[in-house]
Amino acid sequence: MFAALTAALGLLPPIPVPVVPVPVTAQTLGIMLAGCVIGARRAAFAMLLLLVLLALGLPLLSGGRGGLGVFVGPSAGYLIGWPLGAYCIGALVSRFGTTIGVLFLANCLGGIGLIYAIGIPVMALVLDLPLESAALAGSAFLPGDLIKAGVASAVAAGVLRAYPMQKNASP
Amino acid sequence: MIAGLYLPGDSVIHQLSAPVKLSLMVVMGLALVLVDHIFVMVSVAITTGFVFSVLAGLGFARLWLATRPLLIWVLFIALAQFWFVTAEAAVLVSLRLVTLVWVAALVTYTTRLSEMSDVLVAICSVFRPLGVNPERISFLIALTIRLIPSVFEIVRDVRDVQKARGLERSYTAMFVPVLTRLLREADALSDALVARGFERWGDQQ
Repeated sequence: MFAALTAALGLLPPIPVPVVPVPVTAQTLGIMLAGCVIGARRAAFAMLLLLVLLALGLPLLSGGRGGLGVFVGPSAGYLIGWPLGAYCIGALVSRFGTTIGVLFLANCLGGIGLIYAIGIPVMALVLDLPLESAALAGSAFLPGDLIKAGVASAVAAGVLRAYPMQKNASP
Repeated sequence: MIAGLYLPGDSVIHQLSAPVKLSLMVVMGLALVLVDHIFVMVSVAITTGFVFSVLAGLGFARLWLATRPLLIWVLFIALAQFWFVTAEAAVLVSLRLVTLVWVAALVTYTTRLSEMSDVLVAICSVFRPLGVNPERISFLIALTIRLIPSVFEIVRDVRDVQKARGLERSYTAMFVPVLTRLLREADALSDALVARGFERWGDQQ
């Protein structure tokens, strides 16, 4: 059953970055990694599971946040984008291969592009702001997220080499 | 073991059933969006704060804790609204955001995980004809919760190993082993589950 895999990877986002003291969350990394490594459907499910757990009241967001409050705040749109982003990344990777270039592009498109595309409008809605202002606010996260995309691609490449996933053999 | 956000208590709010609280939350959410008058908004905000801290017995400290992550946003919108629109709009939007979060947090703080889980399963049961299996979903949820500490343990183990090598600052050195171990253990777990009679993803007929 894919449950275990899903569960394990769905939890990657909540792990804070214990390595480098950067004030950036590892959350987006989790989405990108999931999409790259375990495939579109499972990654999307893992993210969905994460959202469900969040809604139920687990402090799984960076900083120990959680509960329904995060779904009515400004970052709600981004959260919704996670399963979709993971799916997109997975789909792109399975379609175009696993070279690091593809991985990076997929991570950027799915992990940043798609998620921002949903996150920013929702943020504009919640904050009652014109889209441009929301976009401006959102772009503050862009450099960090780009770095994360790079890291995720490198890591994913490494993992895929070390532990090749055969789609049919281990569902 | 990871602890949920639920805060035990026996206030009036705590005793309301989960579906009731959730519906109330939705209603309040909609209502808040429709509020236009600053006086109404302020009074609603104050009432909500009161319900949160006093009626539900959650205290003002907790209220503040729930608000803190929002402060940057509040500041940002307040400034943006004040700059582009009016001061009144700034107050309105900020209060709306904060009040909404308070209401949502209130529900989370006063509802047990198991209650929320039941609501979820109930909702999913509606979709049963579409092939959704609520029992499997609740199992997955429980499993995932159970696995959270295991994931932390894996991260800790890898960290220790890499520290011994002086490599703890490299992202790849950290994450690649974590992920490979995760995958390996997940596969082992799924094998164990299959051996106990769970079907494989994609095997269902």
